[in-house]
Amino acid sequence: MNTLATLIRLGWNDVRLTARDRAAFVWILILPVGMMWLFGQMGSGAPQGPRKAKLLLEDNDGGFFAEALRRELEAEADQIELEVRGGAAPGTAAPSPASPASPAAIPTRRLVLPAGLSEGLLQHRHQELRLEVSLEANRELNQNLDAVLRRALVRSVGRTVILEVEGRPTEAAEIDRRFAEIAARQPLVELKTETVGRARTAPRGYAQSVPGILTMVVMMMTLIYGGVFLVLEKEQGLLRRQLTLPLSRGQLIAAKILGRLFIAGLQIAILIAVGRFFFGLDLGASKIGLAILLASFAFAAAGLSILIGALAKTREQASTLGWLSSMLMAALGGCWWPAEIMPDWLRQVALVLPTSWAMNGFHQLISYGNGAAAILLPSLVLALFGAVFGALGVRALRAA
Amino acid sequence: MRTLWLLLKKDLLRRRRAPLAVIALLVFPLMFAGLISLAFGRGEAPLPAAKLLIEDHDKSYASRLVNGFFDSEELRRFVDASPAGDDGRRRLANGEVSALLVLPEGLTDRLLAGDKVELELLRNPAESILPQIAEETSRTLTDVLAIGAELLKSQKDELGITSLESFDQLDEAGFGRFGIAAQRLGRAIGPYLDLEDPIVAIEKVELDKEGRPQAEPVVTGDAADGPSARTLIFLMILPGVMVYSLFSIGEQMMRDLLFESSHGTLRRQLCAPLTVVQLIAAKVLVAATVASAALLLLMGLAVGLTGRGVDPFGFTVLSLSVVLAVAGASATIYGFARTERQGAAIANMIYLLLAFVGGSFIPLDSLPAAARKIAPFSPFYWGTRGFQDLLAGQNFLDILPSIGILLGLGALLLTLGSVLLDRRFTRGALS
Repeated sequence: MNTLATLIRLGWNDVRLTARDRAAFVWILILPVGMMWLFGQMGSGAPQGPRKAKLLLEDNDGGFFAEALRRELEAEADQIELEVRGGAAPGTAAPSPASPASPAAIPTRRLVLPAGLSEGLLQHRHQELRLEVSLEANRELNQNLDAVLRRALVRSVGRTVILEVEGRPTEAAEIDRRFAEIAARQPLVELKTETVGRARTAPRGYAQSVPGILTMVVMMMTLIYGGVFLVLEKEQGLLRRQLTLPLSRGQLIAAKILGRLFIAGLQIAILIAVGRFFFGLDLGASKIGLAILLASFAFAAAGLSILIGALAKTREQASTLGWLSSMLMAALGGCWWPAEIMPDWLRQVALVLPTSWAMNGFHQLISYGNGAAAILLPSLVLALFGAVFGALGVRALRAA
Repeated sequence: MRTLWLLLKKDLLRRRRAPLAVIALLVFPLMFAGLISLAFGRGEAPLPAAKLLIEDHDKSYASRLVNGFFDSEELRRFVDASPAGDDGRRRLANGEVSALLVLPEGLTDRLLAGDKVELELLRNPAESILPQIAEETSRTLTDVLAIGAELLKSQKDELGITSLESFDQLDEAGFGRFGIAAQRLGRAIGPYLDLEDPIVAIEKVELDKEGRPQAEPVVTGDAADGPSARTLIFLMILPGVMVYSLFSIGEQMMRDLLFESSHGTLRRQLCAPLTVVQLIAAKVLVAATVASAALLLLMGLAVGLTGRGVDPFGFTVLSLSVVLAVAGASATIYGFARTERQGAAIANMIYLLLAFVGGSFIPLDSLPAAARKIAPFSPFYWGTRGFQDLLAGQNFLDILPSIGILLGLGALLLTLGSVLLDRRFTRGALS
């Protein structure tokens, strides 16, 4: 019992040293909260809703098909911010597509419908629409727009086919009326979508940024402070002095790990509270599962900080290794962006990183809404990381 | 001058003895840009294909049509569809695929009968982007099926079939009527259904800042000549991370001032015939020298990858401006910082925030509107933009705004930092 109390006292000493450093407050709270907000806003689940692709539709045709396309694109208001020039709207003649007025006036995306589009289509002549996209345009939004345009074309061409098969009128006004009537029909085939799992919180916006940034900064903070403190203790002979305590080497290292666990735990508690109450983070179906996962992750980070502190010769080296490795682990582990956008092989490679397992665990709890059983494997792997890193750290310390 | 040179040489030799931190800062931009280019450099599509499983309970004409739809060359870039098999739902629950599409039993019959039918798409909750792509594509499929069903419904009387069974039961006369009706339908819809050469096509053109069309898409998969997609992404990311590393290198060099102060070597140096100004100037010079060497190394690599040179005058002046800003920012931070650790923490925090907001790690167009508005207040924004423009083939005049702002900011911060450091020396706080 006395030994445990000594270990806790030694570990708590690290918390006191960290708390004495005013900059720690910034690292523990201000920076991560700022980054959670920034990354959360970048994700499409931010409060202002998903980001939309701006599109200028230049209608030089004014016929039924151009009208149909316009209606289809207007119906996609959640994905597209549409501006229409030309067509049936009075006083909005479309400028020549080949003559943009000035660089400032160049739209990000412009879809040009050629004159005679509708008429040519009814005569079975091939038609080409021109989509101009600025090099500066967001590529992800471009890809969304491609999908929306493809669907709008399929629907509009399909309805033209129905018009053709059911008997096309000769008068333009009658064509418009019949086309509108076909478009108003209830589709015979529909798609029902459902997200599997219980919690059903898609990892976007804050649901991705809060766990991601928490994972990154807890790792970063633990590695930097844990590593630097150990180097400091080596430099100033404090470690040698602590060895005169009635403690074994193993117990001393356990106390060091305990100290880092306290610091990481404190930061996790603060960030989880901020995530829950400021960013509305859903903590998943199992609070116990979340606690086990976070404790395992903190243990992995603590073990790694011992290894870094043991390997580094100077404080500068320890802090550089700490932030460098935590940034790389965060990027590859899916903390900065959803891991789904990385190629399969890179996702497999990332499994050698604790950040990847921590994010997997978060997804199991928060996205799938699974219980504590689902995080047993990630937690075990994280604990194993901590044990291996810690053991390697002890060896490196002995060598030093 | 000789004194400055000796002080510079002394610090550089000391750095050589423990180079890990500087090497790490040099490796970081290469690793970071390299990883991002590996992750995202896959040709025109910025995302991998969404894995979609098809759970087929119909096993008839409609399901063959669905498989054919997903097998088209254009769609395969976005969706990688395959049969679900018996363990499809388990694979979805394990997060192995992005979505699962359920084709209901009797789909073909219901389409032939003109009845309403519903397909079901189950999405992976641990992914947000790829299931969306799978959904968009499945909606297009639904549209195609809906139009087909509408056509069959309108021609039901002529075709004479309402189910697969009724098709099998057609007598000779009925089969003849069906053939004629199908031929007429084929003639009517044929011109619209040429998948190789669609009747309405979209020609996509990429425009540069001046609105000039680009001959080739900028990011292509395996360009025969010129940099590949991966290289282009690497070159797009490298300048930003490089600027971040340069500022971090400058911070480390200047941190040495407080390290020497706490270890008493600064006091010892001041016993020599040296002025405080010379000491500060030497530390600034060390930061500038190491940052310049890092810059030359990283930009040399970037220029080698583009396969074409950059404007040498523009590069030299921009590099000097960045180095001045790096030295100025470091001097100012350590002019305020009381301890080595405090300075490092403040610098890292400020640099990290400015780098994120300035688009060093993430392209500006992906940042929220509020962050984009404050981006021009970050020196990282101007440095990143300047080097990106140079690598894109622009010259000195094009990057003049970046140069001007960095020079002005650098001069201002260097003056402020020098005054602060000089005052601390004079008060004895540093020595």
